[in-house]
Amino acid sequence: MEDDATILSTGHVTSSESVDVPSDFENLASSNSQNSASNPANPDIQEEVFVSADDQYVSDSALSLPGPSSDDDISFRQRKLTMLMTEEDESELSSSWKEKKSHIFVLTEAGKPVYSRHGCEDKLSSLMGVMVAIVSCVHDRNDTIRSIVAGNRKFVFLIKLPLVLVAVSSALETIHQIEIHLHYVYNTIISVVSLSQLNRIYSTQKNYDLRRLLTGTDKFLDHLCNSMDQDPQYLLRAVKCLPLAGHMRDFVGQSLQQSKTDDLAFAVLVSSGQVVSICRLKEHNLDTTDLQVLLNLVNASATSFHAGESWLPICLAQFNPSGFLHAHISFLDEKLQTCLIFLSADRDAFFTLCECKKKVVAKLNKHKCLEAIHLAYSKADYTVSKVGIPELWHFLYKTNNISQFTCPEFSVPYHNEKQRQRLFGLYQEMHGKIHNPAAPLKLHYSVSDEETLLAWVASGFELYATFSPLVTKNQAISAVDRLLRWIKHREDELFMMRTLTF
Amino acid sequence: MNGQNQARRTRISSSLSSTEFDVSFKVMVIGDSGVGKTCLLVRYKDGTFLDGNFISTVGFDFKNKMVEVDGKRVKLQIWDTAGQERFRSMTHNFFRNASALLLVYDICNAQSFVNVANWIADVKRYASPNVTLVMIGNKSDCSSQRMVKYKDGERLAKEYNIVFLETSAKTGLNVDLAFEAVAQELYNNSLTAADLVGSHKESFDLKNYVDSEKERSNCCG
Amino acid sequence: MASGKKVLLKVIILGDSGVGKTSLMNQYVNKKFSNQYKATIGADFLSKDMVVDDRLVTMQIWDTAGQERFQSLGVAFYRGADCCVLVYDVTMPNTFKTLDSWRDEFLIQASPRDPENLPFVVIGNKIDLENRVVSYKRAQGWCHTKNDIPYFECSAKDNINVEQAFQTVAKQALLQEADVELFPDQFPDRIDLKSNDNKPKSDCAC
Repeated sequence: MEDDATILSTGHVTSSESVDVPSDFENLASSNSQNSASNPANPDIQEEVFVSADDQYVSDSALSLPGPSSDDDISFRQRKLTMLMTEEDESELSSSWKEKKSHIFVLTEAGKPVYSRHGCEDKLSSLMGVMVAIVSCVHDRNDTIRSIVAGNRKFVFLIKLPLVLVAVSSALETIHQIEIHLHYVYNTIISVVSLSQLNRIYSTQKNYDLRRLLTGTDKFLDHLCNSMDQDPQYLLRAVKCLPLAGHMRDFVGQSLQQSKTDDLAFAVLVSSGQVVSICRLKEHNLDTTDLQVLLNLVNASATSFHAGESWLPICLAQFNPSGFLHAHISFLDEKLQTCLIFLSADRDAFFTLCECKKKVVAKLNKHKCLEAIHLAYSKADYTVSKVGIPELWHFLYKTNNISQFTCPEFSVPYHNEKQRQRLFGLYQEMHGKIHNPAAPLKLHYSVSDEETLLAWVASGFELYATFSPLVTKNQAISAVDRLLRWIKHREDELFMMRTLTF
Repeated sequence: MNGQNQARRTRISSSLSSTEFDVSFKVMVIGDSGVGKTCLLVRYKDGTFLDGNFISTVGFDFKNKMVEVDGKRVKLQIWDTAGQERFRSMTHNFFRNASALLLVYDICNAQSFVNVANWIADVKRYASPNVTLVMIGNKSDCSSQRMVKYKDGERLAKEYNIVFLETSAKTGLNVDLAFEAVAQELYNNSLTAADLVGSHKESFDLKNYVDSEKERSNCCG
Repeated sequence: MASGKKVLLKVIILGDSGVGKTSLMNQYVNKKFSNQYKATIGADFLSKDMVVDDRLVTMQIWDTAGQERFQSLGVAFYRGADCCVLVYDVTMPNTFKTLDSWRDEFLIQASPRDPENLPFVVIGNKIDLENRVVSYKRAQGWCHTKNDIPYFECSAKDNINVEQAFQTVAKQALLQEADVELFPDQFPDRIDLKSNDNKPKSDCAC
């Protein structure tokens, strides 16, 4: 995936550069209700302010974003695809299936089904035939289809021959966001079969049914798809670390260093899905996407690991799409929360790594790290009230250079599932507007009856903040300033600021 | 006869808590996906049954189990393998170092029984020629859905001259027996001539032992 | 109850327009389907589940339009096909003569791994009509010269032979599948950590 910062490129990360809060916000502060227009598309929004990335102050909410290009032939076909999705007399496609907000399909370039998020993929073979035909029609015109927008539905295509990935969404995600989801799905499939094996098979056997190599992996893909609907890590393309005192995290890192051995590329300690520490070979980086694919696999399989030690080949596409690393996976506690992962290039290294694990555990115990980790997890995430800004209700903060993010736990009014989903949808929407490739923004501020939202992209970070609807602009600006200082003050605890090397 | 069985049984006791051991052996459980390899292991190691939806093993799972054989502590290093096609080549790779292989099929799944021949071909190709091989027909409790008759399993095993028994991870039938017999066999095979001098032990024959000890489930088909 | 793995077969139906491909499919699939795509994309897509040799088989049927203007889309349609059904109209000898070129075209576009063994079936349609021109013997003879392609005669009113035709197609395709072995060593690519080219994609954090 392009534009993805590696988890930590080299050793130390210097503190994030100071941000000139005032100047970026000048435009916001100076705008008043008379200038800013309400959003005709969304009547709930009372006020909306945009600041484009090139600093042109744009108050009008009707930004002229480029619409889908019209093309007679294509639009005719896209109507057909839409019809297929909405027709009543297709008995295979029940109405409840059609009503799902977000579909993801994976098929081969021959049109054979590989995976479907909802429903059974081989019942969808007709639909997939149509998809391949559309891809081919466009390909025939020396072009590659990317998306079709039909009413409130977006059809997004990702062509990664010999695979074709298609998403159909009637949710609020943008095409760009959906494409990123498809990349994650693709990377997950590659993690199981490897790109070189995939290409090798399809170079001679175009009719190969890839499901033969993917048996048992539906759970990885299902878990990924469900997570992408609610976990900010896929939206922000960043991982969350377990908040832990810096010196304790260093102890963990030093413990991981004990596992140094031939062909060992990475050692990772994770607790409850959050990264605690990583140790790596100097010359190698663990890419964010690779790490996310690995964590998804572990989280989706936790129940199969049965408190033993597991050995699993995994292809990390950003690291090396042609070969497999081998993961030694074990849990260090009864509740299967803290997980130790070694990634080795040697497929016969299992027993060596069992010994490495003992050394790591011994050092972890020496510094009482496991207790600290357990404590850090059980006292739950910090609450937003700790920040001490009453009008601030929630936020997502991503630091760009190390691709990590932090956020507090949900509290009132986002204390139930429905509100959380709604808030996540709002974050997606803000993120989509800010990162619109055609018209990227620097700042987005919108006020509604329920909350006030602020999204801000600066060179070192991204911030999405949720405030009470009664907050004034000045209060919001001041709150952001205080929040950033609060985060900076605690960055050693909230983020993994450094990875040790073997 | 029963008294002798009791005596034999007490020689092989499981669930030692100490991690020290006198000798260790690598054991692998192999067979098609879904036949119950993991359930057998969980039954053997923890004495429980993994009920609920089928959760396929991811890659290879490894656990140690300590047993006592003739007063010695034996560590069984047990590999639970994912039966899926994509792991086949790695599974073959592990055969080399295995002292014993438990080849499992599901009595309710004819295809898994048909594939036993393929598995045995792989064993002959990749495993050590002296490997201890045991054939297990699992899910013997599912009598109403039985597709493979007991005697068919028996006949096939005889053809290959390997030990055969039916088990049920659900009820526990013959599960302990399968592993303990293997442990005994491996231990005995590891004894040198010098160890056996002066010993009045009856010679242990795996097949005879299993045949005499195994229980049949009620509906044997 | 089928016990083996599910199999999905891609089946292409070829033949001149008007020979009755769609009516045959209508009969066989036995579902109401609307052929709305043919005019625009060049094929309709149907799906049929069947049990063959104790295995559950899903046939993904590509019912093509048979018109010239779609021939440029050949590769997409034919790629990865497991079997091909050639249809002609027994009352129209021209549609029989073109079977050769349909077959050739298919073999070129699909570029199967093993062209000699790719399953074909020929169906002579509309035998219910009185003005039959192509004889059974002639059709059978041609099929024989092409590696013994199975030949079936039927009419849109009578679908018994169609069922048999597809059973045969599926059986032959499954035989092909059994021969396909996964690569002997799935993990030949060992990563050499020392030479693994992995430069950080973004700027250095310091």
